[in-house]
Amino acid sequence: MDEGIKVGVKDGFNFCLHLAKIIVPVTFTFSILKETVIFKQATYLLTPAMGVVGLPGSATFTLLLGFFSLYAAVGSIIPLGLTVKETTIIAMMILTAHTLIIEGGALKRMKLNYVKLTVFRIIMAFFIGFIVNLLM
Amino acid sequence: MNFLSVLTGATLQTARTMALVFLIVIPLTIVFEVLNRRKFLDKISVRFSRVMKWFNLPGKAAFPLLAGMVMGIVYGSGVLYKCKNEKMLSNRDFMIVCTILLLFHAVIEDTLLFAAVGASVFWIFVFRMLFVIVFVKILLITGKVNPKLDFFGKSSQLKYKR
Repeated sequence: MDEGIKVGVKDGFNFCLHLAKIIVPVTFTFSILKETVIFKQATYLLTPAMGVVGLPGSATFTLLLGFFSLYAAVGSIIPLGLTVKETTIIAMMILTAHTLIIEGGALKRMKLNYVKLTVFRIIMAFFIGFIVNLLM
Repeated sequence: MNFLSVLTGATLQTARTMALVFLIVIPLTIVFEVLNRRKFLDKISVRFSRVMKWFNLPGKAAFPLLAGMVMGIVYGSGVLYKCKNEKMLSNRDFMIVCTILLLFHAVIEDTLLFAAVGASVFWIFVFRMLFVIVFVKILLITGKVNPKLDFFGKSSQLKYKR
Protein backbone atom coordinates (compact mmCIF):
# COMPACT_ATOMS: atom_id res chain seq x y z
CA MET A 1 0.00 0.00 0.00
CA ASP A 2 2.67 2.55 1.04
CA GLU A 3 4.88 1.35 -1.78
CA GLY A 4 1.95 1.81 -4.18
CA ILE A 5 1.42 5.42 -3.09
CA LYS A 6 5.13 6.19 -3.47
CA VAL A 7 5.30 4.76 -6.98
CA GLY A 8 2.02 6.50 -7.84
CA VAL A 9 3.32 9.92 -6.78
CA LYS A 10 6.55 9.42 -8.70
CA ASP A 11 4.82 8.22 -11.90
CA GLY A 12 2.20 10.97 -11.64
CA PHE A 13 4.82 13.66 -11.17
CA ASN A 14 6.87 12.42 -14.13
CA PHE A 15 3.78 12.31 -16.31
CA CYS A 16 2.85 15.86 -15.24
CA LEU A 17 6.32 17.11 -16.19
CA HIS A 18 5.94 15.42 -19.56
CA LEU A 19 2.56 17.17 -20.00
CA ALA A 20 3.99 20.50 -18.87
CA LYS A 21 6.50 20.46 -21.73
CA ILE A 22 3.56 20.61 -24.17
CA ILE A 23 0.86 22.45 -22.21
CA VAL A 24 2.94 25.37 -20.89
CA PRO A 25 4.26 26.67 -24.24
CA VAL A 26 0.93 26.07 -26.01
CA THR A 27 -1.23 27.77 -23.37
CA PHE A 28 1.18 30.71 -23.08
CA THR A 29 1.48 31.29 -26.85
CA PHE A 30 -2.22 30.82 -27.36
CA SER A 31 -3.19 33.30 -24.61
CA ILE A 32 -1.11 35.99 -26.36
CA LEU A 33 -2.11 34.97 -29.89
CA LYS A 34 -5.82 35.29 -29.23
CA GLU A 35 -5.40 39.01 -28.44
CA THR A 36 -3.98 39.77 -31.90
CA VAL A 37 -5.99 41.38 -34.68
CA ILE A 38 -5.25 38.63 -37.23
CA PHE A 39 -6.60 35.95 -34.88
CA LYS A 40 -9.80 37.92 -34.31
CA GLN A 41 -10.32 38.37 -38.05
CA ALA A 42 -9.80 34.67 -38.76
CA THR A 43 -12.16 33.80 -35.92
CA TYR A 44 -14.81 36.08 -37.40
CA LEU A 45 -14.52 34.37 -40.80
CA LEU A 46 -14.71 30.84 -39.35
CA THR A 47 -17.69 31.44 -37.07
CA PRO A 48 -20.42 30.32 -39.55
CA ALA A 49 -18.58 27.08 -40.37
CA MET A 50 -18.08 26.16 -36.70
CA GLY A 51 -21.65 27.20 -35.93
CA VAL A 52 -22.77 23.86 -37.40
CA VAL A 53 -21.34 22.08 -34.35
CA GLY A 54 -22.25 24.91 -31.99
CA LEU A 55 -18.75 26.26 -31.42
CA PRO A 56 -17.28 29.76 -31.79
CA GLY A 57 -14.80 30.30 -34.64
CA SER A 58 -11.83 30.50 -32.28
CA ALA A 59 -12.32 26.83 -31.37
CA THR A 60 -11.07 25.82 -34.85
CA PHE A 61 -7.49 26.29 -33.68
CA THR A 62 -7.99 24.06 -30.66
CA LEU A 63 -9.43 21.42 -32.96
CA LEU A 64 -6.46 21.69 -35.34
CA LEU A 65 -4.02 21.46 -32.42
CA GLY A 66 -5.91 18.38 -31.24
CA PHE A 67 -5.24 16.69 -34.58
CA PHE A 68 -1.53 16.80 -33.70
CA SER A 69 -1.54 16.45 -29.93
CA LEU A 70 -4.29 15.80 -27.41
CA TYR A 71 -2.43 17.59 -24.64
CA ALA A 72 -1.77 20.69 -26.73
CA ALA A 73 -5.51 20.92 -27.32
CA VAL A 74 -6.20 20.63 -23.58
CA GLY A 75 -3.76 23.48 -22.99
CA SER A 76 -5.45 25.77 -25.48
CA ILE A 77 -9.00 25.39 -24.14
CA ILE A 78 -8.77 27.63 -21.04
CA PRO A 79 -7.58 30.78 -22.90
CA LEU A 80 -10.64 30.53 -25.17
CA GLY A 81 -13.08 30.94 -22.29
CA LEU A 82 -15.73 28.53 -23.59
CA THR A 83 -18.91 27.53 -21.75
CA VAL A 84 -19.34 24.05 -20.25
CA LYS A 85 -21.43 22.94 -23.22
CA GLU A 86 -18.92 24.20 -25.78
CA THR A 87 -16.02 22.62 -23.89
CA THR A 88 -17.88 19.30 -23.81
CA ILE A 89 -18.55 19.47 -27.56
CA ILE A 90 -14.93 20.18 -28.40
CA ALA A 91 -13.76 17.53 -25.93
CA MET A 92 -15.91 14.92 -27.66
CA MET A 93 -14.66 15.99 -31.09
CA ILE A 94 -11.01 15.87 -30.03
CA LEU A 95 -11.47 12.56 -28.24
CA THR A 96 -12.75 11.14 -31.53
CA ALA A 97 -10.04 12.56 -33.80
CA HIS A 98 -6.73 13.26 -32.08
CA THR A 99 -2.99 12.69 -32.56
CA LEU A 100 -3.78 11.70 -36.15
CA ILE A 101 -0.18 11.44 -37.37
CA ILE A 102 1.16 9.18 -34.61
CA GLU A 103 -1.94 6.98 -34.47
CA GLY A 104 -2.04 6.88 -38.28
CA GLY A 105 1.47 5.43 -38.10
CA ALA A 106 0.25 2.74 -35.70
CA LEU A 107 -2.63 1.91 -38.08
CA LYS A 108 -0.18 1.70 -40.98
CA ARG A 109 1.95 -0.79 -39.04
CA MET A 110 -1.14 -2.96 -38.63
CA LYS A 111 -1.50 -2.89 -42.44
CA LEU A 112 -4.81 -1.02 -42.35
CA ASN A 113 -5.88 1.72 -44.77
CA TYR A 114 -4.77 4.59 -42.58
CA VAL A 115 -5.76 7.42 -44.97
CA LYS A 116 -9.34 6.18 -45.16
CA LEU A 117 -9.53 5.60 -41.40
CA THR A 118 -8.10 9.04 -40.61
CA VAL A 119 -10.58 10.78 -42.92
CA PHE A 120 -13.31 8.68 -41.30
CA ARG A 121 -12.23 9.85 -37.83
CA ILE A 122 -12.37 13.52 -38.86
CA ILE A 123 -15.82 13.13 -40.42
CA MET A 124 -17.02 11.23 -37.35
CA ALA A 125 -15.67 14.01 -35.11
CA PHE A 126 -17.87 16.59 -36.86
CA PHE A 127 -20.83 14.22 -36.88
CA ILE A 128 -20.43 13.61 -33.15
CA GLY A 129 -20.04 17.35 -32.50
CA PHE A 130 -23.25 17.96 -34.41
CA ILE A 131 -25.17 15.33 -32.42
CA VAL A 132 -23.78 16.41 -29.04
CA ASN A 133 -24.78 19.97 -29.85
CA LEU A 134 -28.32 18.81 -30.62
CA LEU A 135 -28.75 16.52 -27.60
CA MET A 136 -27.09 18.48 -24.83
CA MET B 1 1.06 48.70 -20.62
CA ASN B 2 -1.54 46.84 -22.62
CA PHE B 3 1.10 44.34 -23.69
CA LEU B 4 2.07 43.85 -20.06
CA SER B 5 -1.48 42.96 -19.03
CA VAL B 6 -1.71 40.43 -21.88
CA LEU B 7 1.56 38.89 -20.70
CA THR B 8 0.41 38.59 -17.06
CA GLY B 9 -2.90 37.14 -18.25
CA ALA B 10 -1.08 34.51 -20.30
CA THR B 11 1.16 33.58 -17.36
CA LEU B 12 -1.83 33.26 -15.03
CA GLN B 13 -3.75 31.10 -17.45
CA THR B 14 -0.76 28.82 -18.01
CA ALA B 15 -0.27 28.46 -14.26
CA ARG B 16 -3.96 27.71 -13.78
CA THR B 17 -4.03 25.03 -16.48
CA MET B 18 -0.92 23.31 -15.11
CA ALA B 19 -2.20 23.45 -11.51
CA LEU B 20 -5.43 21.76 -12.59
CA VAL B 21 -3.53 19.10 -14.52
CA PHE B 22 -1.32 18.37 -11.49
CA LEU B 23 -4.38 18.16 -9.23
CA ILE B 24 -6.05 15.64 -11.53
CA VAL B 25 -3.16 13.48 -12.68
CA ILE B 26 -1.25 12.80 -9.44
CA PRO B 27 -4.18 11.49 -7.32
CA LEU B 28 -5.26 9.44 -10.33
CA THR B 29 -1.91 7.71 -10.71
CA ILE B 30 -1.80 6.98 -6.96
CA VAL B 31 -5.25 5.37 -6.97
CA PHE B 32 -4.38 3.46 -10.11
CA GLU B 33 -1.07 2.16 -8.75
CA VAL B 34 -2.67 1.02 -5.46
CA LEU B 35 -5.55 -0.75 -7.24
CA ASN B 36 -3.12 -2.31 -9.69
CA ARG B 37 -1.11 -3.83 -6.84
CA ARG B 38 -4.26 -5.42 -5.43
CA LYS B 39 -5.13 -7.10 -8.75
CA PHE B 40 -8.28 -5.00 -8.97
CA LEU B 41 -8.75 -5.60 -12.71
CA ASP B 42 -8.73 -9.38 -12.29
CA LYS B 43 -11.43 -9.15 -9.66
CA ILE B 44 -13.72 -6.76 -11.48
CA SER B 45 -13.55 -8.48 -14.88
CA VAL B 46 -15.28 -11.53 -13.40
CA ARG B 47 -18.44 -9.45 -12.96
CA PHE B 48 -18.51 -8.18 -16.51
CA SER B 49 -19.62 -11.34 -18.31
CA ARG B 50 -23.19 -10.09 -18.69
CA VAL B 51 -22.06 -6.94 -20.46
CA MET B 52 -19.76 -9.05 -22.62
CA LYS B 53 -22.65 -11.25 -23.70
CA TRP B 54 -24.44 -8.17 -24.94
CA PHE B 55 -21.57 -7.48 -27.36
CA ASN B 56 -21.50 -11.17 -28.40
CA LEU B 57 -18.19 -11.65 -26.60
CA PRO B 58 -17.02 -14.43 -24.27
CA GLY B 59 -16.45 -13.56 -20.60
CA LYS B 60 -12.69 -13.88 -21.09
CA ALA B 61 -12.72 -10.72 -23.25
CA ALA B 62 -13.51 -8.59 -20.18
CA PHE B 63 -9.90 -8.40 -18.99
CA PRO B 64 -8.26 -6.96 -22.17
CA LEU B 65 -11.26 -4.68 -22.67
CA LEU B 66 -11.15 -3.26 -19.14
CA ALA B 67 -7.37 -2.93 -19.29
CA GLY B 68 -7.62 -0.79 -22.44
CA MET B 69 -10.49 1.25 -21.04
CA VAL B 70 -8.67 2.04 -17.81
CA MET B 71 -5.05 2.28 -18.92
CA GLY B 72 -5.39 3.47 -22.50
CA ILE B 73 -4.26 1.89 -25.75
CA VAL B 74 -0.54 2.25 -25.08
CA TYR B 75 -0.48 0.37 -21.78
CA GLY B 76 -3.47 -1.80 -22.63
CA SER B 77 -1.80 -2.99 -25.82
CA GLY B 78 0.52 -5.17 -23.71
CA VAL B 79 -2.50 -7.15 -22.54
CA LEU B 80 -4.02 -7.18 -26.04
CA TYR B 81 -0.80 -8.50 -27.55
CA LYS B 82 -0.67 -11.29 -24.99
CA CYS B 83 -4.30 -12.20 -25.75
CA LYS B 84 -3.60 -12.47 -29.43
CA ASN B 85 -0.36 -14.42 -29.04
CA GLU B 86 -1.75 -16.95 -26.60
CA LYS B 87 -4.95 -17.35 -28.63
CA MET B 88 -7.12 -16.42 -25.66
CA LEU B 89 -9.70 -14.95 -28.04
CA SER B 90 -10.85 -15.85 -31.56
CA ASN B 91 -9.96 -13.48 -34.41
CA ARG B 92 -13.47 -12.11 -34.51
CA ASP B 93 -13.67 -11.48 -30.78
CA PHE B 94 -10.28 -9.82 -30.89
CA MET B 95 -11.44 -7.47 -33.65
CA ILE B 96 -14.59 -6.53 -31.71
CA VAL B 97 -12.49 -5.78 -28.62
CA CYS B 98 -10.17 -3.58 -30.73
CA THR B 99 -13.11 -1.72 -32.29
CA ILE B 100 -14.64 -0.97 -28.90
CA LEU B 101 -11.29 0.17 -27.53
CA LEU B 102 -10.55 2.48 -30.46
CA LEU B 103 -13.73 4.41 -29.65
CA PHE B 104 -13.59 4.06 -25.88
CA HIS B 105 -10.09 4.04 -24.42
CA ALA B 106 -8.31 5.73 -21.51
CA VAL B 107 -11.76 6.67 -20.26
CA ILE B 108 -10.72 7.95 -16.84
CA GLU B 109 -7.58 9.89 -17.72
CA ASP B 110 -8.76 11.66 -20.88
CA THR B 111 -12.16 12.52 -19.44
CA LEU B 112 -10.63 14.03 -16.30
CA LEU B 113 -8.09 16.03 -18.33
CA PHE B 114 -10.92 17.67 -20.22
CA ALA B 115 -12.89 18.06 -16.99
CA ALA B 116 -9.92 20.01 -15.62
CA VAL B 117 -10.39 22.63 -18.32
CA GLY B 118 -14.15 22.84 -17.86
CA ALA B 119 -16.02 20.10 -19.74
CA SER B 120 -18.85 18.11 -18.14
CA VAL B 121 -17.66 14.66 -16.97
CA PHE B 122 -21.18 13.26 -16.99
CA TRP B 123 -21.95 14.24 -20.58
CA ILE B 124 -18.60 13.14 -22.00
CA PHE B 125 -19.00 9.77 -20.33
CA VAL B 126 -22.61 9.34 -21.46
CA PHE B 127 -21.90 10.36 -25.06
CA ARG B 128 -18.82 8.18 -25.43
CA MET B 129 -20.71 5.20 -24.02
CA LEU B 130 -23.69 5.91 -26.29
CA PHE B 131 -21.58 6.18 -29.44
CA VAL B 132 -19.60 3.02 -28.81
CA ILE B 133 -22.73 0.99 -28.06
CA VAL B 134 -24.62 2.25 -31.12
CA PHE B 135 -21.62 1.88 -33.44
CA VAL B 136 -20.63 -1.65 -32.39
CA LYS B 137 -24.27 -2.83 -32.32
CA ILE B 138 -24.77 -1.56 -35.88
CA LEU B 139 -21.64 -3.42 -37.00
CA LEU B 140 -22.78 -6.61 -35.28
CA ILE B 141 -26.28 -6.43 -36.75
CA THR B 142 -25.16 -5.65 -40.31
CA GLY B 143 -22.62 -8.47 -40.01
CA LYS B 144 -25.41 -10.82 -39.01
CA VAL B 145 -27.83 -9.78 -41.76
CA ASN B 146 -25.18 -9.78 -44.47
CA PRO B 147 -22.25 -12.06 -43.58
CA LYS B 148 -20.47 -11.05 -46.79
CA LEU B 149 -19.72 -7.65 -45.27
CA ASP B 150 -17.68 -9.53 -42.64
CA PHE B 151 -16.55 -6.68 -40.40
CA PHE B 152 -14.73 -8.82 -37.89
CA GLY B 153 -12.73 -11.28 -39.97
CA LYS B 154 -13.51 -14.72 -41.42
CA SER B 155 -14.49 -16.42 -38.19
CA SER B 156 -17.50 -14.16 -37.72
CA GLN B 157 -19.48 -16.18 -40.26
CA LEU B 158 -18.85 -19.42 -38.40
CA LYS B 159 -20.02 -17.84 -35.20
CA TYR B 160 -23.35 -16.71 -36.62
CA LYS B 161 -24.15 -20.03 -38.31
CA ARG B 162 -24.04 -21.78 -34.96
